[in-house]
Amino acid sequence: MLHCVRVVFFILILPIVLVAQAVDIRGVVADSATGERIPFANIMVVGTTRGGSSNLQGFYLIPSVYPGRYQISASSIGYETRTKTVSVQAGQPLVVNFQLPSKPVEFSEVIITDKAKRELTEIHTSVHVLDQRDIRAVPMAVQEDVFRSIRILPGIISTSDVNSQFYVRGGAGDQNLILLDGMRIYNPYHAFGIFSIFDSDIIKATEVYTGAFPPEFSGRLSSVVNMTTRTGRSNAVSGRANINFLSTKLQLDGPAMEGVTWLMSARKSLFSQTFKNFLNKDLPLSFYDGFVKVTGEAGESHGTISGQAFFSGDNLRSASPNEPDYSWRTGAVGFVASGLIQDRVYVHAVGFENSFKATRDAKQSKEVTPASTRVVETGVRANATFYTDSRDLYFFGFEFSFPTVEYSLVNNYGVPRTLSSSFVESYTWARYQTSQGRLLADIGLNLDMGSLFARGGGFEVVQPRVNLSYSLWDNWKGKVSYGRFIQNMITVNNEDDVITIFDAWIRIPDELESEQADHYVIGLEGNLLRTLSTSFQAYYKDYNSLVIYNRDKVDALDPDYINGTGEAYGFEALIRFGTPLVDIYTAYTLGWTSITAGGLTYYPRYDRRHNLNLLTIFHPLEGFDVTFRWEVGSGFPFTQTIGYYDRLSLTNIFRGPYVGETGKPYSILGGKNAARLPTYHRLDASATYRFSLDPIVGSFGVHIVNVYNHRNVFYFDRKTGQQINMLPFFPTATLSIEY
Amino acid sequence: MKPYAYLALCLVYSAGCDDPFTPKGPYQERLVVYSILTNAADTQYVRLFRTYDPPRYDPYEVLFDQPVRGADVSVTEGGNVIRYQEGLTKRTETGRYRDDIVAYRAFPFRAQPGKSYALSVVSQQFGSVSSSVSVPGSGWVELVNSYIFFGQGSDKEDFVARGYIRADTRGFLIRFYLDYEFAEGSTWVQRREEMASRVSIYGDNLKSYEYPKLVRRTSPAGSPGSLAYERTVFSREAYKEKLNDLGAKHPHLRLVGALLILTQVEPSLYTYYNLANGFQDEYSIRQDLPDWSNIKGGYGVFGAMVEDSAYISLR
Repeated sequence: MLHCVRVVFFILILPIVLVAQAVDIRGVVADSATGERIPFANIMVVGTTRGGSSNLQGFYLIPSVYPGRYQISASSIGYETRTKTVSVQAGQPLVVNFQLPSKPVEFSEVIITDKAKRELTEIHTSVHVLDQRDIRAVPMAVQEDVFRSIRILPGIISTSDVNSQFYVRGGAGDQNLILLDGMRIYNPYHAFGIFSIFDSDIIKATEVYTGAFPPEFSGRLSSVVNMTTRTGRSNAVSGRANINFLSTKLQLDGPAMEGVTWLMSARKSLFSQTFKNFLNKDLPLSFYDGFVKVTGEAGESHGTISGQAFFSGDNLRSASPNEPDYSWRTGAVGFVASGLIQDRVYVHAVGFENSFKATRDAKQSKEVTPASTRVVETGVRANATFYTDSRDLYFFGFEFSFPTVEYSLVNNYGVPRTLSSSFVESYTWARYQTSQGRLLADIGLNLDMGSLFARGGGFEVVQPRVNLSYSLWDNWKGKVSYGRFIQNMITVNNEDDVITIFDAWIRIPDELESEQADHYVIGLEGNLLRTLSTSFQAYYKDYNSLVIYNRDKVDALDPDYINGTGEAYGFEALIRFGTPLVDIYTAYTLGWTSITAGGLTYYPRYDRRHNLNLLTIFHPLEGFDVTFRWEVGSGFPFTQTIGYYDRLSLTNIFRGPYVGETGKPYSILGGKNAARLPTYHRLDASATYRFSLDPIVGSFGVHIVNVYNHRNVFYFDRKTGQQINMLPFFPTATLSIEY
Repeated sequence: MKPYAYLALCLVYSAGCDDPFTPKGPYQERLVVYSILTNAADTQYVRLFRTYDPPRYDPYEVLFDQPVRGADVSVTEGGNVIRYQEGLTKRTETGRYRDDIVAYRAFPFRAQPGKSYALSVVSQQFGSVSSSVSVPGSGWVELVNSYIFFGQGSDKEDFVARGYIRADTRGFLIRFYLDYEFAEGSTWVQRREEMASRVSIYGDNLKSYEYPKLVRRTSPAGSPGSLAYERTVFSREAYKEKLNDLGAKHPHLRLVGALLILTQVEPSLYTYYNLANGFQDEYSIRQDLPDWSNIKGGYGVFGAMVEDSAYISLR
């Protein structure tokens, strides 16, 4: 009997006692020079398998470390590794903060090791994490741009050079969730989408999910771009100035008081002539954007509290009274708080208000009508991470937002029309991450509470998200992912427009089902050689519900839009090779996308069969890089014009004769998107030299867009035959100075 | 420079060669036909012209109409063949073309309600097209509360017109006209004014009238030959405002009669008319211009409509 009691004691009680003795090691990892926190750093208990990585706020927690002496190391790309010896004693959690000195980084380190981003990429099939170095590695078109850089990732395509808008695995442009410090941004583009409204220098890290993304991201079908901004330096005021052919910008940051930093950045256009070179069209375009952020340390919670404001504006004002004027305004204000609220519960919460307004003033134009679109949204989102003894992680969160959307236009009937709605977007989620031997699992559920209550949704509001990763051999992993996604807001535009510069957001009408997609992804990745890493993924995206033009609409009793379906599938390969002399990054995507609505199946305008991005970076001298980027893409679909006729409107037929009518020229179109544009290809080259004249550091770059001046078709005007090509041979230079 | 350097340069510059591109697909010349049969006129027309392919891209480069002359145009109903004669008619819009319009005309020919007609156009030069249409059967129309004219009922009561339409009717339109006469010197002049269905008044002097438009039937089609009724409401306020307007223009005015016209439209004309006129949907946010045609081998529309009327004397 006594023996049995001892057995029970050892089996049940002893582990509890031991765990009770174990303590957590936690802290933050920061840049030793600037004090800025470092996300995705690796923290290891040397000599053990214990460890973790810092989150986007630089916080890490290693649970339940038994008493003893340990060496804890912290490492991150671009930083020297630091190791601390600590003595763990039963009782209070041990706080170990790291300050890592930065070091020069070679691109090969980024593309080959990828260790610092392991926590995310280890399980998920479709995630890429970019920091500023990744963004700068891509040859720029006039200036660095985060959205232009992510276009080199597999599965992401753009319909033109002069457009940062992107399409992910067959998803439409409005299916991308853009977050800046947790604030949803509705129009992230400047100037026809030529580049994004986010100055790449304010972005610390960018997570890009191209599919099957985790449950804390809601409301979009295809992808997530989650950007986290920098904080100001904590030790001294610093500044950065940049001038290029297009714009000038100034960034200042520094400490305000103990534990409080500030950062401000402003950018303004300089030369509209550049646009003339871009588009072969005189565009009297001007833009500006600005960002302000104040961050304070939240003491023992290891957290931060910050307030930030972002604004941008674009104006396109034509001198001709017959040409319309356009203006776009985007703004966001947010308050972010993060930190431990209990020993093992880390919370990240955001309260925000954003706004977007675009206006088209037709002036005396006969071709276009006045229109405006507006989105104002107030919301709050919070996510909690719960660390467990077993090293499993639980995540919980919710999001409430209250968007108001408004779209005013003069419709085809000639009537001014305003479509306005205010509603609630509400999501709640839970997620569990575990490791079982060779298997890593990330399983979650997102509930679209807004649809559940407002639309009377059923089971479809439940959005499961599953990511599994299995270690096969050596460093090879097999991965599978599944996710269901719902979207309740869409943009509307004329599908027959060649370029859409006026996308209006609307709420999906109540009589239609929300847009819904299921993602299935399978992947295999590993290193063929120490210097050669590969990743292969196949995806299938089932659009159970899309909102599409009702092509059978005849009159006011027929809805403008109906539910359709679609599918996208394809294969992606990512091959990365790195040596001290040269880095090569190759991303290839083979994809098919089709949409079916009203009995018609067609390829959407962004369906591209083949897309290849080849990025080669030579490092001939220290501080000197020569980069080549070659992109090849098969032609996008378009609808041919097969003739014209003078179409009579018969407007007066009930109150007079119609026979004398002349009618207006009407384009006879061929099969919808049945033809293809020519193959797109372009070579960009860039040479950058980094210099240091203490206390100033800077870089000078010479960049050539479209080295061999290939004329890639951007769009054509059916009626005038005016063909606009994408970027021609276009040399630019940049100078950046930082002190 | 070494040979392989030359080769590399050649490769780079050959990559810059442009691929030929045109947005135009293969052009096929087709006939365009517009013909709306009606029982309200004793002359029926067929507008006949061609598609065109501008030399470059701009359709406005084409400065002349594309008429088709010498075509054999006929409409067949049962065993009857009605042949159309080529003629010229005045162009009402001369902004783009100034010459008269070539139109084929059949006179005397009044479309018969309830009959089916087949159109045939044969041009030696430009090929042939055909189409067919069923003219809706006769309906009838009434003013449900005509007693309003005679001082009965509430003075706020709207006029309600009821139209009885046939099963093969897709859309209908009820119009309401007022015949009046006013003194001009020693003579009385007769005029007709269409009554609005609604009026919106902005301030003291600004008002906007809304007139009935072609709408889709809401009643079930029923069996062939059956009748179903639809109604159109004409606001009393709009009526009063119209009378005020007329009274302001003509102080000595007296009402002569009220005319109601019911127009029944078959599906082809209904569809074409709506698509060519912004879906007749003031609430739509669509910006595209979809096409539709029931002309086999060509473009345009062969449609039909039937008018029935009722008259209420107010003398």
